[in-house]
Amino acid sequence: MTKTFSCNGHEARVALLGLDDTLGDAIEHSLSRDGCALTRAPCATSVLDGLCAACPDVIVLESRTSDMSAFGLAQEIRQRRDLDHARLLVLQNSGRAIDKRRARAMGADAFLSMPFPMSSLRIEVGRLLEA
Amino acid sequence: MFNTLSLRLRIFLFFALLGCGALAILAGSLAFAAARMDPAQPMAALTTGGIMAGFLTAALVAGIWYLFDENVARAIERLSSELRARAHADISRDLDAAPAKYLGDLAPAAGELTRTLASARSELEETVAEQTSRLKEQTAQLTALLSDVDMGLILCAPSHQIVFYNPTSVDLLQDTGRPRLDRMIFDLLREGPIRRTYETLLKAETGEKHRDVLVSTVACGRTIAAHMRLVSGALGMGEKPGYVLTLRDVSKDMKMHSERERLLTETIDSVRLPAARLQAVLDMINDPVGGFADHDAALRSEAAELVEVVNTLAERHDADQDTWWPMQDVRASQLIDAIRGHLGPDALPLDAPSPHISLRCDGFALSSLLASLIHKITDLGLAKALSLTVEMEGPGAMVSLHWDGGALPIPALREVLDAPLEDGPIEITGQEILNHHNSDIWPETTDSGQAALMLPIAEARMVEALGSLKPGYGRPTVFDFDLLTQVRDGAVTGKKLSELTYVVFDTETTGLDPKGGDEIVQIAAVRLLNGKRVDGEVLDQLVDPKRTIPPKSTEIHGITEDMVKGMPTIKEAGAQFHRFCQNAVLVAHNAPFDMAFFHRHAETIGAPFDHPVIDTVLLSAILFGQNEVHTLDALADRFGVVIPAEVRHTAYGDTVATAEVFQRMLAMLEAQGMTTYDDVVAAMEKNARLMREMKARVG
Repeated sequence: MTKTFSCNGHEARVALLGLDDTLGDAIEHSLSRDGCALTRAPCATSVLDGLCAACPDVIVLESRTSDMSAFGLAQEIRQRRDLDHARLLVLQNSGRAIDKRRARAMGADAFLSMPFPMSSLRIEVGRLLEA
Repeated sequence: MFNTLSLRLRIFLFFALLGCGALAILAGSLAFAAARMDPAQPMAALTTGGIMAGFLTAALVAGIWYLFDENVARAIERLSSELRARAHADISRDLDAAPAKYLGDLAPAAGELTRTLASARSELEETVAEQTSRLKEQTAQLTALLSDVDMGLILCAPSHQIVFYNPTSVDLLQDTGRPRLDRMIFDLLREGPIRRTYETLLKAETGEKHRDVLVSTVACGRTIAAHMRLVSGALGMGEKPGYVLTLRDVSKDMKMHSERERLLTETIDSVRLPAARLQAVLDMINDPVGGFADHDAALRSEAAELVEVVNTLAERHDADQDTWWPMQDVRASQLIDAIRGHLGPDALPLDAPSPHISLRCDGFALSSLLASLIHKITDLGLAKALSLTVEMEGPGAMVSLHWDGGALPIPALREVLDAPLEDGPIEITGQEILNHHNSDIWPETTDSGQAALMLPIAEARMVEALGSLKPGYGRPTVFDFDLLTQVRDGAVTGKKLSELTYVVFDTETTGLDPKGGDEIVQIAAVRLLNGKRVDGEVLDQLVDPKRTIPPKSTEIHGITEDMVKGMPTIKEAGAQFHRFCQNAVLVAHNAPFDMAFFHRHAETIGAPFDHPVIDTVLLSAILFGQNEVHTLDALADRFGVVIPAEVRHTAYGDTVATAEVFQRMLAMLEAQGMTTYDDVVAAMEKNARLMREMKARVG
């Protein structure tokens, strides 16, 4: 039986930033099945206004080693008052302690290093929605 | 009144007194005999008078001799000792004229002479100092430069004895032993490869002067990549050239390389199977004949296994992260100085306390990167002043640059990280430098609300404050090029005193009875080569006596039971001392006392202390006569050696004082014709009582 995610009584809204590949498709498929409303956008500061309008409960952000654009975006998100409530989940293609620490410092509420089973992602998203 | 008369008049008066006294005694005795004379037996009274005159004359002569000995002979002896000490040591204190007060003008004249000597000496020293100061300065600069070379450098004489070494070589070989002047290089590095390479270079007809050699250390089996180069000519070698070894520890590189190879092989092996299974399942799904019912479960299980394999390998890879980029141990203070250097005088104020932390990093590149970030923060007007802190965090440290003001935007940070470093050795960006350090940098907001940039350093350690290091404890480059043409094998027979290696030492103990259970609590030693104390070759070790330390002993040397807790016992410290003393003549003040402890523990230590021993108490007796005071304080005073109060009665302080006194005694011995070790032994043998006493005390 699939669990249905919700947030404060409304349908859970999740934004996927980056992840324009099969992994993104799989995440979208999996979370949609769990009852989340998904928005997908590239990982760029130009999407911020659209993101504010979508008012997501959880933002899933893909970050790659040596590419700071995701952290630039995270910094901008954390500076937007209208995204204060949004929880940030960073998916990174490395898993050093320093990467986790950096992600936390940049405002991430949760961190998953790739590869990960879809179940772990669903657990993390569920935890962030409940928090 | 008497000492205002001239010396000649005084000596005349002595003899006049002797003559008059003898006549008076004779007259008195004759009067006595005449008064008692029995005309029947005149001889009896005359005999009594004669005996009386004889005894009284002998007593008078003895009295006059005593006065003469005390005020003339001994006074001359004391004065000549003082003069001799001044001839061989630079003593500025005035001559003590009190013992020679009855010697007329001799003491004032000698005083004048020593003052003239001291003034001539000081003038000469000033001239020499002036002439040599630039030379000394240049030597100091060269030494400092060589101390900073991040590569081990050791120069060996043709006899394979060490003539020069820099601190990097000390660090490099620390697990196997310590380089010391005049020791064989084979104590540290395996003999075979070094000797073979040296012989090959000697025989090379093509003029080949250098060659690479891989050699392992004697005790810890580290692999060292050495480069051997023959040297001669300017270094003033004899017929056979010596050689310089440039050393680099490659154990880590080799280990890292083999770890990487292993990880790569394991990665391929462990991914191959889940990939094959995944491929098989997919093939089965697409099989037109079908027949694989539960492909969903199979697919999930294989995918899960692949994820697990990749994660396990990634974890191992992250844990083994290392870099080929050249790193040094850089003190936080040096990093901060370098940043200030990059910033220049017009930069924003930078408040940066210097904790005693050493960071494993490329100090130049990191300081350049941090300076570029500070420039960027300044250009964006984000801060009016900055602070930089370095704090230990786990096995590494966190460098944090913080300020009151807005955070540094990520694009601006990226701009700095993507730009090539200023004055970098090759074109390399800040991000690449961070990658080489297996590190990263990110903006953060501190607990106090300041904007910050955080830069973790993976490897760091707490270090001692620079100022707290005792003299001789630094990281100096140590050399004595005179050793190039000498062979020192520990033999003393026929050797000149100046050609011997001496270890001057002192111990502090729980008490004065080595046979009654007292033990050593501290050993200090310094080495003397070619008449000079070798800077940087110092032993100063607290020893756990495995018994209580009486408060009365603590009062003298200041060593408490808490201080020795956890310190090596006599077994380890004694062995360390034994290694320090290899091929050396041992010198100590009252050596038999200290030696008794080591002889008693020789079996535990596992090495006999059969070195030649010189006792500075005995030397003092030979040089100044047995009636003088021979305490270390008295000798130091006689030679003008100052023992600072805070180190008096510490093993190290007393050792240095003994070494200073001994160096001056060597000059005196040579001036008196005792130039070899055998001469000194012969001088001691002449005084059989002294020799017996020494033998009895050495045991």
